[in-house]
Amino acid sequence: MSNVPGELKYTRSHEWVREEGDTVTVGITDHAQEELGDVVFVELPQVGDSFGAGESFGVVESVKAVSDLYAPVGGEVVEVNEALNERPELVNEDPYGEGWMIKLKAEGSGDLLSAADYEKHLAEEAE
Amino acid sequence: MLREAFEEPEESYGLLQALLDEVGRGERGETALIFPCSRHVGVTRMDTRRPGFGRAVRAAEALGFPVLERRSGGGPIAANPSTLTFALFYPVEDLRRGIYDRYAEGTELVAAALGRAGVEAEPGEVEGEFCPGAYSVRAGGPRGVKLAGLSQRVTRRAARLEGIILVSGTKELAEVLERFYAQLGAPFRRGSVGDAGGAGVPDVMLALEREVRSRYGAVGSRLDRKTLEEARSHVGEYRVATGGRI
Repeated sequence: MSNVPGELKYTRSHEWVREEGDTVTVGITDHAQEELGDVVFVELPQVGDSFGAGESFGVVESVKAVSDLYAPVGGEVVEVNEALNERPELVNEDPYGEGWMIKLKAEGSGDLLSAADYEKHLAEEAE
Repeated sequence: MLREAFEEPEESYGLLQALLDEVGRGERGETALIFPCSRHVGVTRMDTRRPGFGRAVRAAEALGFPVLERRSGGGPIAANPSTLTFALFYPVEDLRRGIYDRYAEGTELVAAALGRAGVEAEPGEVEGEFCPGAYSVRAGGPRGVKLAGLSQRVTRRAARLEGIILVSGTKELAEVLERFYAQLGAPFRRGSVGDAGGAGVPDVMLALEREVRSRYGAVGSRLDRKTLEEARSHVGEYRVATGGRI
């Protein structure tokens, strides 16, 4: 069973969002990292880049596949987790902590799910 | 099914991207694509960051193999016109699901097609293989030879399972892979590079086509001008410059 922290919000494409004022921290969920397998490379944008909600902001490469990452809300990138350059495995080891990916200065709220709704989404997808 | 290799390998990569985009936009349903490769080495984005990559690129180029960055997982691969590209494109509802099912489907399909061409093959990893992983097709068990390798590219609305199938002319592939992996300091066993025995490229293409038709009821179709134009618009995205990390 995947870990779904109650204080975070989620997308249907399995990113998580931690809201702190007008800044949001973004990563991929425990479920996403489990499905991807060992993450070997994460390509992230640069500080100052802007994305619309739902737009691809990067790419995660695992031993299984290369797949896109999607911005849960629109906004400007204000910080990038540089540690993932050297230690992409943090995404597997600590997806909600040291494995965070970007911080955005949010513009708008996006179509986000509560933890309960995300768990329901996972259950529906599993059926 | 395209019977001739592209003049430049970038064109084939562009086509793989264009079809993925079309499936993702809902303009095209499930699609299979089969064609002979152009001579090249394909690497992942991660490979381009590895120490020794610049030397590896120069070693490949010295043997006549340009190096392209492919947008799927795994490790360095080498191909020539006696190698086939096989790809399946799927619309997806959830990009974080289905990876394993698609691999199982793809490896079984390729193994079955090789069987139709008279080559005994099974899904499974090979010791010391290029682009190592569980999603290979092999002959001779774990210490045998690799016949095909598969990888995936997944976006929100579409996924592409793609692979290369080693049919013949593999001596030069083993040579370039040996040099490339040596420069990266990565393990590689030259004897792990297999081929389809006496079967030729047309035989394996036909076997793949029959397998796809029998599994999916697929019908042939032409690539229209719009798809080809979109494919051409991507060709500048893949070639790796020689000045990588030394």
